[in-house]
Amino acid sequence: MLLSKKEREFRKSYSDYYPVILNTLYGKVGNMEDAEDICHEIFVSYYRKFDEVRDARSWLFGAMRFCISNYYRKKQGSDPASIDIANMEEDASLAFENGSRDIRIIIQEALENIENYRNEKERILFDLIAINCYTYEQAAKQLGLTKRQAVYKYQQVTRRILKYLKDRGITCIEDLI
Amino acid sequence: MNKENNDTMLLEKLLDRYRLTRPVPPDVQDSILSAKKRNLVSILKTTGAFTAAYGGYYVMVARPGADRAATPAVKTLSLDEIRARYKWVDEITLYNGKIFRGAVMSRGETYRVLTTEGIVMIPRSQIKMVKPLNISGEEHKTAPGDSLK
Repeated sequence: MLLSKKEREFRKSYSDYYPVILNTLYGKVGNMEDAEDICHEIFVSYYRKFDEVRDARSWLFGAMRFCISNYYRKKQGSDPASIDIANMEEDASLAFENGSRDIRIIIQEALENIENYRNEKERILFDLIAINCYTYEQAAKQLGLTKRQAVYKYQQVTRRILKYLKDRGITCIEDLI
Repeated sequence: MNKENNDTMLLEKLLDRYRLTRPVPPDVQDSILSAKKRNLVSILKTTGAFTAAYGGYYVMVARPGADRAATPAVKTLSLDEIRARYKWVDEITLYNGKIFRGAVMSRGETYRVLTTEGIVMIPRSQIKMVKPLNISGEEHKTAPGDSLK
């Protein structure tokens, strides 16, 4: 066997999460070179702590927030405590008022609800297609699936999310658009 | 956007309307995909996990852009070497106009043909005719029965 178990598992984890992490970094940082550098830093730390990590997604996204705040601190010379990445993400919600903001929160909950995804791959696939606007072909390539598999999985997740919204009282999506 | 299904279209519109999308431009998507394996090697090198064994594995299997389907299954041979080994060389013409030259190794629903670029599997239904080639590389007259149809 050429690769150890740790390396095989790391490779699989890297293969799944790399596009999602890099997409998010690109969205936050705004240029590909810096995003790749930060991504490299995150995955190097992830490899070193691989045996201790229980939830890869939480760990990687936590490390990403930390690295982004460090990046802005270095760039702007400001105090990292004053930069709250979580709040930066929520800025968009300020554009919505009262009822609309509540609906946005419900939709966010639906996207984050783990029960809407059968496994982590489905969640990543949904992120790539619905959030990052990848085509089915590109998302399938990133995750090592066929286009048909990607379409099927994506449609299943979509149905579950729409059902979740319906259960939470959002019965007519068309009215919200 | 993927508009193959009404539900998916509806949800995508909803996410867009509530600014929950973070679109990544297509050129960036391509560069993310193409840099994936290169960056993995870079990470493994930084951590010291990029061993000689992994290097070999990377070159053989995980090399960026490696098209495993296009890699010949056996060492490639020239037409003369194929003729010397199998005593004959055929020219296989497909209905789509494509022509393969080499030795037919097995027949059936799928023909296995050893060509100068490796072994090619051709479904019988796609083959228009099979002609033997003489030593100079010119084809004989089509013998009765050589043509499949």
